[in-house]
Amino acid sequence: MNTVTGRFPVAARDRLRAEAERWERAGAVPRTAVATIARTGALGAMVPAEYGGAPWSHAAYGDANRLLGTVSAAAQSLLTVHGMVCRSLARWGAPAVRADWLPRLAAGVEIGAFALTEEQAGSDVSALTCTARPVPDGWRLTGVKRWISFGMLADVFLVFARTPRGQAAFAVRADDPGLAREPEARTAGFRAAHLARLTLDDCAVPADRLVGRPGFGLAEVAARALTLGRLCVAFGALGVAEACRDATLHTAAQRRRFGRRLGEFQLVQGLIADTEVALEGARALAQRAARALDDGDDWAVAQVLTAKLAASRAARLAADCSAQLHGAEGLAEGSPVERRSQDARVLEIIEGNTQLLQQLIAEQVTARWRAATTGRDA
Amino acid sequence: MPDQGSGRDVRKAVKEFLGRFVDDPDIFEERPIITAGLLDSLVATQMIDFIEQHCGAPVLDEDLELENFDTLDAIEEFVRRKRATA
Ligand SMILES: Cc1cc2nc3c(=O)[nH]c(=O)nc-3n(C[C@H](O)[C@H](O)[C@H](O)COP(=O)(O)OP(=O)(O)OC[C@H]3O[C@@H](n4cnc5c(N)ncnc54)[C@H](O)[C@@H]3O)c2cc1C
Repeated sequence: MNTVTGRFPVAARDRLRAEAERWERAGAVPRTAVATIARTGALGAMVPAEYGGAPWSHAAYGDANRLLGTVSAAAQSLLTVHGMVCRSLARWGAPAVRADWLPRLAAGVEIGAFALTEEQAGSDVSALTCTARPVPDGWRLTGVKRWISFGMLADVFLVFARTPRGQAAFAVRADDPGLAREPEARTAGFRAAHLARLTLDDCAVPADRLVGRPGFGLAEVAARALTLGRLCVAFGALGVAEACRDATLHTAAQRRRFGRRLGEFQLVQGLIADTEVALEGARALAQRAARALDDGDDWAVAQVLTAKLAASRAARLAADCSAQLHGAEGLAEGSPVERRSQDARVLEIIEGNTQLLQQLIAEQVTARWRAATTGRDA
Repeated sequence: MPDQGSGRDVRKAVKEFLGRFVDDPDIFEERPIITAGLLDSLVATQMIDFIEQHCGAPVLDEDLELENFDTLDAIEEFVRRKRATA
């Protein structure tokens, strides 16, 4: 379904960048900023044209995530979660839900959030305890979802729950009876990401809100959405790393110590070079992963995992180098350098923490090697 | 879409696919593919993509039932049905 029509305009990035520090202080990306993002078409990028979207290629969507990542990792995460919800509904939603919800999501009139994590089920999603009880006219959902990005702003949620026939995904509206939300305690990173705790108390949803089928909630709906989510995080991390590199270069060129500019010290040049190598290596991996998804490559999943790990590490390295060169200023709460250091830390935890990704990458490359050595796809 | 034969080709191709992720894909002659918990959930999505791309059987939302994908017999039958109606 992907085409290459879309492109995130640099002018939108510049407009948003002018306000990003204000969002951090307020602890929320405002609706006006969401409207600016919606006008670029990015919120309809993962929606097929028949439902009012204008699909973008993964490469173009990735680049939108990168540009927004240079502004704010919190704002970029809207593209991650909204894109995951749109793609899941488009692929596995019931016809009536697709027809009714997707046009509003595509226009950005409504926002989607992805509600998988629970207190005891983060990396280990198989441990989720939220239940969906079948009743004659649909389902009743009960449980608590934690750290849901844009959860305080979202109009619709993709909620994962356990049914008698296995885990399943459900499309839930914020105003469905039995759903309540409250803000999570302020986190060190992603301060403007509207993180919510959702409480579902016998929340009633009609039968056609089932997305996919029981048994496939994790094994298909979540896993497929997470591949898109990881691509978004990889590109978002590139944006964070770029912003950190630019701050490093600026300070290296401007700040004078011991009678010289910082950039004249070889040890500082080492920080600059390490940042560049990590960033550009990750960029190549992310672009390759996006192309692999666009081409339907058999090993696209492996490439996305690799790109996410490399880019989140590059972001942290770039943020660490930048914070180091900024000295005390780099630690001041609310400074852009401090914000990006905290955001970079989050990028190594969300959408698959670093250790889990290492495990998945090893599994995928071993499978690729097996396929090659048995003569297929060599 | 290299395989368009009787259905036996599907069993062989899917087993070859699963053999990338486990030492001995013959275990799936005896055990369920998805519900046995032997595979990571990402592999299940890759298997669905594989069935769509290499066996010529599009998977729609109403098809996403364990009855269609949890055993080799079920997958063979599913692809046969899909090809018949294609
Ligand atoms: C800012 C932010 C936004 C978020 N947004 C969302 C959202 O929109 N939707 C949503 O559903 N969730 C969201 N989350 C939750 C996020 O997905 C989880 O925090 C993440 O999956 C990790 O789960 P956990 O925090 O329970 O940590 P745990 O699963 O307890 O893991 C803790 C640590 O244990 C180690 N570990 C875990 N598994 C392994 C392993 N297999 N091998 C080795 N080490 C391992 C890792 O070092 C890991 O960091 C968000 C979290 C944050 C911080």
